[in-house]
Amino acid sequence: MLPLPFYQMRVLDFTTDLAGAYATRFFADLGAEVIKVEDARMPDALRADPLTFESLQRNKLSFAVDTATDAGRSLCLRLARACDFTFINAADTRFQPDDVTSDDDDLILVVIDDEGVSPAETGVAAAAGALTALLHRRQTGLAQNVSVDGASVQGSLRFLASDARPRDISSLVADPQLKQDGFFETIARHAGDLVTVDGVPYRFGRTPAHVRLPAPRPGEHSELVLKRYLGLDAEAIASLSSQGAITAPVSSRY
Amino acid sequence: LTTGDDEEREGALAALTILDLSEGIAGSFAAKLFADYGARVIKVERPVSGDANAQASVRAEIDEARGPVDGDNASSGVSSHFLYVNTNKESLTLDYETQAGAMVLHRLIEDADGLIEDAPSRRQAALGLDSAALLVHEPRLVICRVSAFAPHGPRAGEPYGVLGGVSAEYSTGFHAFTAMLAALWHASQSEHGQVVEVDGLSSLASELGPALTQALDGAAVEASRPAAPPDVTSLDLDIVEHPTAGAISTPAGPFELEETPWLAGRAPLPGEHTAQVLGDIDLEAAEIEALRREGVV
Repeated sequence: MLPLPFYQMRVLDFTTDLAGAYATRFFADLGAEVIKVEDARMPDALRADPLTFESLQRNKLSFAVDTATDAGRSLCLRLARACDFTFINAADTRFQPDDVTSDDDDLILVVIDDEGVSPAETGVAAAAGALTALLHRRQTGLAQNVSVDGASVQGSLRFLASDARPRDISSLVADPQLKQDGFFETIARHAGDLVTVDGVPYRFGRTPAHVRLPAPRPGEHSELVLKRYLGLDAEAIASLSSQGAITAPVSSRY
Repeated sequence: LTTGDDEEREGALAALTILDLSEGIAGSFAAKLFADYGARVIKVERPVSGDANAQASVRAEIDEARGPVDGDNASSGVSSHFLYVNTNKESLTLDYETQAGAMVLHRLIEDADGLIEDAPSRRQAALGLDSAALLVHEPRLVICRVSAFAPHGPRAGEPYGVLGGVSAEYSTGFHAFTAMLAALWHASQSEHGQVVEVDGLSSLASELGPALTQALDGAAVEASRPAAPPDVTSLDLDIVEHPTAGAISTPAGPFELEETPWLAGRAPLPGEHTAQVLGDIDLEAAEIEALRREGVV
């Protein structure tokens, strides 16, 4: 079998809203390493609802950092440079297009301005925008930023189509076609129990994609990310951890 | 005012060539997004000989099942949906269910990165056009098949109605565009193309993923309220001029790229680019004329 479509792709994810979660889930499901930047200063609102979190944040890695520290902010910028692109919310004060320097003209930043009435569709638009910029950069060597807002997405999708009707969740859950497709997937959560979530909606003939990892614990992958992406050794990581710039594995919290 | 004519392709996806075999809204909308962001998109339409009214009715097919939309373009015989979902495409009329037509399609596929179609496909295995055969000849080709319900399940062939009607068609096309970009990226990295199936039911279920996960866990979940339609008057619209339908307003694309513009444009007339497209694959004028006589193009 071939590797997944986004094998070897790295995505940095500062988003804390639903649209951002949908956007980066698209990449995580199809094989990218998506690093969720988690920060006590900008906690992920979705953690408050564990099942939503499981559905939207599966297959991602968590990097816990304190962006109030200089060391933490510097790590974020270095990670952005080590990734193929970076997703941010427009209101996020931790990382913005202004934070990158003129040396960073090969970075692609995808800015979600307002998730709008349909966060899922705004998320799909952000994913499509990121891929469009990525294909363009591959072709021309030129990077550019992408901006997405919910109103434009709905303007494009609903310009001639306003006939949407309520969707019955219980009939979807029982839908024979989704069942036969094996659309829903069951994974073991970190807490040890099993949970069934919506799977990957697209069928790639040669690179079928699945739910591989449960949603991460905060900071679960901090160490791995710093080693693999920035080449830091154990000593450097321990030092960052003792300064409070990062939160390394948090298994003790559970 | 943008005429849509003679514009150089300068969008972000200008390096891509996509063949659009779809006849419904979903596949056509996916292909439109490629065209609006700069790809060369060749829309392959069925040739209809002679009678202009018959041709208009084929092109209005998209609307016929749905009743009237706005009356703006009623006099031109072309539907609003058709005009919206085919912007910036080239139109080739081609009957690829004939031997000669299948050969032309093969030539076009050699130069294409992707192919979009509705399910069920009209590509015939007997003419060497089935997906397996195409992928043997063109290993990097991405074939995107768009349907309301996946072609192999118990609900295959059902229309988009229960999924939310026309708006579900647009949503499904939007998912298809995005999934196809993923497969095209993969093909550019790995030299491997593939078939990607995108269906309305799975796309909708994916959008409702958190609610479905709650319901599967036993929570009582209410019917989800779909997105409210946009206030069209608040949208920033471009006006494009269409030769038969007149001035048409169109909203911008779903995302904005800092450096490469989204392209406003118009839908093609039927067969408007047939001679040019066939010339690009090096068919001689005499060959084109022969195809015309046989009704293949």
